[in-house]
Amino acid sequence: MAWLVLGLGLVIAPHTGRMPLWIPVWFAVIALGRLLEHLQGSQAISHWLRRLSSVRHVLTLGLVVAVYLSFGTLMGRDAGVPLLVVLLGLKLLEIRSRRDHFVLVFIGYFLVITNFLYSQSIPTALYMFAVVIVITAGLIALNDVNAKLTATHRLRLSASLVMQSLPIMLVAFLLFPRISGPLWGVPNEAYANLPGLNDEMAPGTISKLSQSNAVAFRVKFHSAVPDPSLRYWRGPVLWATDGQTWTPGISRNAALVPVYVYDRPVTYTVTLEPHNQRWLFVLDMPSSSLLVGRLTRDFQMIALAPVRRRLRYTADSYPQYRISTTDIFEKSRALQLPVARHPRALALARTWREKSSGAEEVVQWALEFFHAEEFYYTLTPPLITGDSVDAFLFDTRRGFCEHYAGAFATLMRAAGIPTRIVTGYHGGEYNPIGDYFIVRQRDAHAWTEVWFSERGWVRIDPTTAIHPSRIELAAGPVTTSGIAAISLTLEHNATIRQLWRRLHNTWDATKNQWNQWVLGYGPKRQVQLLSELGIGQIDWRGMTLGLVASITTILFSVALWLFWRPKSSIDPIRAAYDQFCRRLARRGIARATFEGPIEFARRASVRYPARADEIDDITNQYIRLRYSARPGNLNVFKARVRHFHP
Amino acid sequence: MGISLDLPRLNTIAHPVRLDRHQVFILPTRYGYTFAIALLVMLFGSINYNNNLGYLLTFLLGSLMLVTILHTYRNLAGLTVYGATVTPVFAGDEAVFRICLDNRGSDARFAVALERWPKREKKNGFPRHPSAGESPPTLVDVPNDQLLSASIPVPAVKRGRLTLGRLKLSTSFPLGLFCAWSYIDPGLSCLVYPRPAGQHALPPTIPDGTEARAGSQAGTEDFLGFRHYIPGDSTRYIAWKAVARGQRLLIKRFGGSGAALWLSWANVAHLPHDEARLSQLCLWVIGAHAEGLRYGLRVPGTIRPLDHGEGHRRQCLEALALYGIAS
Repeated sequence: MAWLVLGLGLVIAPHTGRMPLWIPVWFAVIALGRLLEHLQGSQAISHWLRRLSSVRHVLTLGLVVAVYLSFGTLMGRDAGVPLLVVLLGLKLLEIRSRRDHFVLVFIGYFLVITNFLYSQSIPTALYMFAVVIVITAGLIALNDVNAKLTATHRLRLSASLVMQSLPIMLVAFLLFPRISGPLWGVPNEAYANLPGLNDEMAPGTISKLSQSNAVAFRVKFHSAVPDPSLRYWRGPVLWATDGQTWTPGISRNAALVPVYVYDRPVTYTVTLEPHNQRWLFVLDMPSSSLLVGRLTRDFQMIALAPVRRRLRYTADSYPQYRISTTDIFEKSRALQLPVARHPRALALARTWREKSSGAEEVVQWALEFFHAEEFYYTLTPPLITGDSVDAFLFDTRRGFCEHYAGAFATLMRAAGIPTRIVTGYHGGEYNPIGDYFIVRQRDAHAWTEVWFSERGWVRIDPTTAIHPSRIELAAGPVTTSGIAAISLTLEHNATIRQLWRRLHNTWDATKNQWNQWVLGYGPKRQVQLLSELGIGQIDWRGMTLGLVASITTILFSVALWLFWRPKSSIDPIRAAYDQFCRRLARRGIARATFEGPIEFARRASVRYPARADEIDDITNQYIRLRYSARPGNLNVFKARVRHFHP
Repeated sequence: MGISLDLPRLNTIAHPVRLDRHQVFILPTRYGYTFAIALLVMLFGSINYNNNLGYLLTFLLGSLMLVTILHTYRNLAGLTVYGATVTPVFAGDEAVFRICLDNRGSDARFAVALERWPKREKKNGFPRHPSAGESPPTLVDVPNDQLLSASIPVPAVKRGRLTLGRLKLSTSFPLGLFCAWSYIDPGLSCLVYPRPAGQHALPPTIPDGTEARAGSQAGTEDFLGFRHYIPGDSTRYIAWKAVARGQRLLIKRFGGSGAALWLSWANVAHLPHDEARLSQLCLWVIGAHAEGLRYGLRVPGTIRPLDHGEGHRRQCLEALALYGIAS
């Protein structure tokens, strides 16, 4: 009972933050009541629980209605789990028979799986593994009718059962025929609140992401790693603006634009975290469509479906490229500005236009403007009211990349230069343990592409123009966890910092392996694994057959171990004497159950006169150890038996 | 539901039966089926949500279920079972059958249930268990490398021979998802004496003319001396003072004219039916034995000559128990 309540408490614990407080409190009150009743035999609590149990029908109705009022539904993940917890409390209240206990155990196991709908991290998996052992110990306690096992013994038995189940679990996991795609609709809520870029950019959207340490994707380069200044991960391309917010707008031309490339391509594999959007991040400039996505006219890689699972793809990109396009419509899209907005910016752009001879010079003026004037790059820009571009350019002058990209694009367009905004990620942190780069949400970035008549689209990152002394990044990488979590006093200790970084890298590399092999294991990986094992093409029938065969083999091995492992006697004297008897039995003299040691020794000596002395000695030592007041040395006896080879 | 560890003193009568793989059956319990359905639901959930940890958990619990088959089976298989002698009881009492469980050389077993499970009798085409619901099963835990006995109490309702019949040994340890069971018939039966009832006053004694073995125990008047105790002697004649002095058990010998008592059918002819007569005779046998008398029993078909002692008492009671029952 205590085990069961403990297991249920442990499985509900991670859920408590995801539901109104009254639900876990309700469960905790009943659970504690049961626990106290069980451990202390408190009559008052027993009485109280019975009283409560007598009105359980009313309680059930009331609580279910309360859950419905809290969530507006009883279906789905977010309302279903609280409902289950409420019902679990009710079951615990009316628990009477053996059947009720079993029901509790099964609901407990089921609640474990509901936790995985929220988190599939390594800590969650380990925690739930422990919870399964505890719940199983509860099940053992239920079947240990006479309560002969101690608490540790139960836990050990439960752990050993679970450990013995691991090989079959592994085989089933690897070989069970996988079906991709949901069987029935997956409620959208399962993908709500995934962090990531949006297809809208307004002041504040990207700087919000920069607070997040969450991983956006991991990249492994198969060829030379490009220079950091070239690591621009391309995401949504934004064309249209209303003076405040940038959006993709509508493209009327789907034809691809030719790209002229120089140098050799960079090949890399990206493992993208789910973000419930359709774009895939690729390095500038991707050359061709992928299996999982298609390339658009403005070089966005668009996935075939929203990315709701971790996705792996390999792509080629050319850091040295030239894109030329002469589409009139596209040019007009890249010059669009809202009517009668940003008068000061427009005026500034006009002066640049007048004093320069070409588009390149205008760009230079603009970058010089950002460099020379008091522009600050900051994560905490002041709130801008009114005309966001004008206010930023002439008043506040403090902003994040989206402010600079937006303002720069506006200026360029005002000067008659086609410009578009590209959002995505920039940079990435190298993990030497796993030899890959981690790109986090805080690496989210926005830059621009300017169209020059001779060179086509050219990437211009206005943020790089800001004077380095005016770049304010709040005390290193802004994080709530991770590297910055190390206390400030240790920050200066190089060794500890290095060690910490190493640990951090190892942890991330482990997580990466976990993602690749555990969470990312699907139909594709399965085929890959089987072909690596040399099984090659195999359909689900073959897979099922293999599965059954492997499980049978493993079960048979476990059975062999279980039934024929050497039985360890608790008594060392007996164990040694048994060994002595076994050795004689192998020579044809088996001790009968009725035979005492002396009788047996006499019989054996007659049969083996040459060994009579030895047999006598061992028997005497055994009898002395067993019955004498001064028993002699056990180790001598053991050694004597060990060296006895009839 | 007593379990005693002082077993080796029991005389065993039936051949030991080792529960090997031909005799142990195993099937899921209803909880096992429920668990399987729950797993199926979990599997479909995992497929739908494409949740690999869900898959892992489902497979872990599934293989737990498979592994527990072996453990449940092991909890029963390999146990050696045999019956011990049964002490006769009076009708209305409870007969206690003792079953020895020999677990030497094996790991501990837990929660093994023993219950009577007579062979199915088909009645109107439906099988039924005559003993179902009669008494709860005895639950035994057998530690590793030990031999112990379990008691199965059976109410003795009727005089005669009470057979234990077939036993079902079952276990669902450790997880209760599977039940392994085996049937054995240890071939035990218990003699049930008639229920002692009626008048306590013994019928009149007659002078014992057949007294030949002087000094054995004839009379109660003249003290002759002591002799050594022989098992079966009445405790009435033990020289307790000598015992208190630390001497061996001695029997006081008396001489003189003893009295003999014949307990016969004629004495009880006035009673309404045979069972009442047997009960009355039974009560008298007990009374006569307790008083240390020499007595004989005469019932149709059997004559027990005048004698005394534990053995004689048993033979008389046995004759009463089996009166009218074909052996």
